[in-house]
Amino acid sequence: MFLAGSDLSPIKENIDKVVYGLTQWKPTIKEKVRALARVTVEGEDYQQAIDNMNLLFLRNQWGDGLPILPATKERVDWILTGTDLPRDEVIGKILPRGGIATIEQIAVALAMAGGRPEYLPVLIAAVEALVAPFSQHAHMATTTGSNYPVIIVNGPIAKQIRLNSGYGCLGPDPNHPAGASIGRALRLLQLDVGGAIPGSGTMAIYGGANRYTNIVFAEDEDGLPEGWEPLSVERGFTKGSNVATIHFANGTINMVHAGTSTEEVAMQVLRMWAAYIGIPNGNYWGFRPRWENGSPGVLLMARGTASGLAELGWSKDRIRDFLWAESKLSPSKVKDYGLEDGVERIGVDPTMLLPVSKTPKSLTIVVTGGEQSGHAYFMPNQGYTPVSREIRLPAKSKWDDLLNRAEKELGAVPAR
Amino acid sequence: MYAGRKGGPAYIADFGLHRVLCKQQEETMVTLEVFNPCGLVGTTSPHAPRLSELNGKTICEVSNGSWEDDRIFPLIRGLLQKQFPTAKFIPYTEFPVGSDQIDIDEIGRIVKDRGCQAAIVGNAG
Repeated sequence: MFLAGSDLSPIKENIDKVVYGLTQWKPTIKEKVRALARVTVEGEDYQQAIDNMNLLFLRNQWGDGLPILPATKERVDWILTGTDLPRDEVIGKILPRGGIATIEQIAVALAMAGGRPEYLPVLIAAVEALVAPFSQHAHMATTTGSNYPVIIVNGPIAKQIRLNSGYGCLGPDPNHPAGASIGRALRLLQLDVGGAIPGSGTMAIYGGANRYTNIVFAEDEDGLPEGWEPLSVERGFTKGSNVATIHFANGTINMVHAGTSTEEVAMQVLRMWAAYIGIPNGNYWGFRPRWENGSPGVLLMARGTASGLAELGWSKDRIRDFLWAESKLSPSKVKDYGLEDGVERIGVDPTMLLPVSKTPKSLTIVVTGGEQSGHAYFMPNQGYTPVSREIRLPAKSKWDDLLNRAEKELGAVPAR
Repeated sequence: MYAGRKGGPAYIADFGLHRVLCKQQEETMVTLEVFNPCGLVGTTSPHAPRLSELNGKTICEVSNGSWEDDRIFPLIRGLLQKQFPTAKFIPYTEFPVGSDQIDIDEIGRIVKDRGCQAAIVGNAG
């Protein structure tokens, strides 16, 4: 029924349900705020209790289908040492279910995901960004598209908590466990507090592996060429700020390329990236707010690639301008791919060359990944406007204690 | 919280950084209490009561601009008009259209200001 021109007879057959909803339906909820009781499970021993807890969670459609750690009072209290914010502070409602994300509930999700207290500030900022109006997270949660949050972290916190900006930065990686825990905790909030269960709360046709831990990584700020600003600065924060930025991507493309050692080779690489970016992705043009303020996606390149381009005189803005111009679709392609309706809806002339976004500035470029050039990565957006939030740390002495404890338990912080 | 019920052989259970001495009894059941993952649920605006009848009422349409709203809303409108001939419909085109335009706190006031007593909100996505 969602395909263009399809049969709408189910609407005719169910019109009485519409009438019922408008005339006879009565709400059953009366209280303003309802707290949900703690969950108690038993077992012959601790191991069996954990197993029974996980079975109960599956039966109740809680969690993500994988085993979780028990969010006991002790574990959650431990996680809450990662913030000075009061545990009952409300960050927002997570839709479509509308469950309330308090600091405590966010800590519960991080506990279940196997997180540590020093990850909590990043997760809180990620949730703040998720529920911000411009992120349109309700649409992103419920849609038939299989999007997932991409959280990009800037600032010294990234290294401090072992967020990866080097090899395998998108995971998995036992040397950099923060990204997976934070991303998984965010997904657990989307599922349990937000109710985005496949087939009922979310109609994502595929879902996907990226949804388990979303994607959480750090920008390689040390690898930025001279004159290339960190994403956080481009988004209006002062250099050195701890910032989390959220995009909603719905795909990942690994782009194999040669190096960027000469202008000729660099041009080949850039044209190839433009070809990947200029795909007939209906999400680029479907909704006016996305077109006006959104981003076509996130382009990742390694520091080796970035330094080669910078030495040849390419700045981030110059790369954006080039990719935006080169990735336009011809009118015949717009017609061949059935994109005319979406293009007209956003007020763009489908007989002109069609860019992937209203302006080149909206393409997000991040330097991250393994050292050398050879591969870049593109994550096309399904989402609206990227949203950034400052990461709020607890008091310095508390933060230092957490980091010291982490060093004792996890070993020295990796170089990247 | 994690607790064994009575005395008996003791063992150490490790979780997080907290080591808890647990004593097991002749009955060996242990109890694990965890937070509910779903959190608080709040109703900031209770659902509006339904209309007893649509005849004589004004019903507006509010669209997020998705999924052929230009076919679906007129269809629903036509079907309801047949059942309720004296109902008046204000089409979605006379209101803001788009998720970001309608997912705002003021939408209720906008609808009320047009004299509507009910609203049909759509359209998938």
